[in-house]
Amino acid sequence: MNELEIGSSAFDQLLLHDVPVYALSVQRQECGVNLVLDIDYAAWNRFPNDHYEVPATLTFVDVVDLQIHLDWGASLRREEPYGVISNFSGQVMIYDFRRFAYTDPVYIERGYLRYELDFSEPLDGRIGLGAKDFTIVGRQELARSEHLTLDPDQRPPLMRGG
Amino acid sequence: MGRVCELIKVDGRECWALFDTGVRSTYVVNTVADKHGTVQTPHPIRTVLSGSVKEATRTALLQAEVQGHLVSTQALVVDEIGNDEDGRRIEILFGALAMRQWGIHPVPDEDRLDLSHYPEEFAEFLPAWFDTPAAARQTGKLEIDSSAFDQVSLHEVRVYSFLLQRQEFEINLVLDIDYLAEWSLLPDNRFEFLVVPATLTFLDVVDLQIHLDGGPSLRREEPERAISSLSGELEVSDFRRFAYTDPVYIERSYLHYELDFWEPQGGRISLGATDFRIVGRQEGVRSDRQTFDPARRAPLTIVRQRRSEPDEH
Repeated sequence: MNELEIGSSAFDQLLLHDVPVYALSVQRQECGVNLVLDIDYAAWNRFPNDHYEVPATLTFVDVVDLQIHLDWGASLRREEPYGVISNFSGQVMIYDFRRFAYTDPVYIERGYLRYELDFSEPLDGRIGLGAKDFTIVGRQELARSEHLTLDPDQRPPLMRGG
Repeated sequence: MGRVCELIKVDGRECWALFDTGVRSTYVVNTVADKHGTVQTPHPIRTVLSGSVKEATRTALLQAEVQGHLVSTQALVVDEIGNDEDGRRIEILFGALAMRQWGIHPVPDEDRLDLSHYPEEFAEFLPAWFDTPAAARQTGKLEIDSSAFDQVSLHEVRVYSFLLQRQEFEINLVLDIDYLAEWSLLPDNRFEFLVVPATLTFLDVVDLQIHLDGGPSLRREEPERAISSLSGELEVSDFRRFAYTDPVYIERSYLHYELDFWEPQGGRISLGATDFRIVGRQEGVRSDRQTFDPARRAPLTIVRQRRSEPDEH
């Protein structure tokens, strides 16, 4: 069984490009706060010659400095002949996933790294945060796919209980 | 957040008051409070007002007349509240809890207070949903749509998650919230809440803007050497609605909605939508806390449907 489970130690082998985000959740833990994203993970690296997709949960552990900016901007315009155009795609698509070391000792001593998720949808969207770790865990078996996103009807839901 | 200044009367004397939904409690300066008697607090209460820390050791029962309507509320007594934008000294700061209790809504764009929801009588401890729109009461289940906007308050409502739900011809924004269906002021001046895990759905969304920015939170502070201001909470302070002026929106029945946040402070989600609805996912629970027990919250699950609405369980 091809179960997906990736930790931050594998960051250098990780590629989050054209990865759709379906939901975003902030979860309070006993000590700290986690940021949880529901994504379709494309396992290119595991299977270089094929394209595999899996519904997965990306969790940032013990989050600080959270900044979420997802802005599709004003989208409706008066355009003939339709009278209206909406450029709001409704998609949230990761373009790049980057990691930096902090320079402030307060972060370093506590094992924090700085993460940034850049988005192609919405254009110039960004989620920035500090976290001690992250994991990507598949919620079902890897499935070979010819598409960047999985059939929504077949995705197991991410349960969000608060 | 809504802020409006107005002259109000306290024992016949005119006082300059700020009504601010961005502040929870109500404050009065000692020069006003001293004329009406005060009560010592069991311990000093520290608060941040106008960018500085104030300490209150007394409370006063503030009885005032706002646009001819009598209101009374407990207020913390402080030396100074601050000045308004024109430099005029603020003597009373009405916070969100008191405004909620007395049905006072600041309308900053028109620089006025709306007291159309001023309660002529209080009905305490009625069955669930007494504070919710009539349609919701009749079914016994929390179900509100945009026609009841004027009766909806999302003040201090917790948001747990949000997602975009693509329908066949439109996109919905779905938020998982704990809706505060009822606020009751108890005799000991504490609030009791009726908390309902609910799904807030904006239909056919355009112009979506999400800015939730807690900013850098870790600071070098002795002796702990670090504090994190990230509470991990997304908490709404205000929910507002505006008409568009562009005919493109009006013809298609779009309204502009804004959700302002306490947490992170200054956070905002704004969007255009043709409608919204709030649907409870389980029975509400009365509590002195504003959030539902996480272990007992019915999870939000979205089942995609081809041409219909989300199925919320």
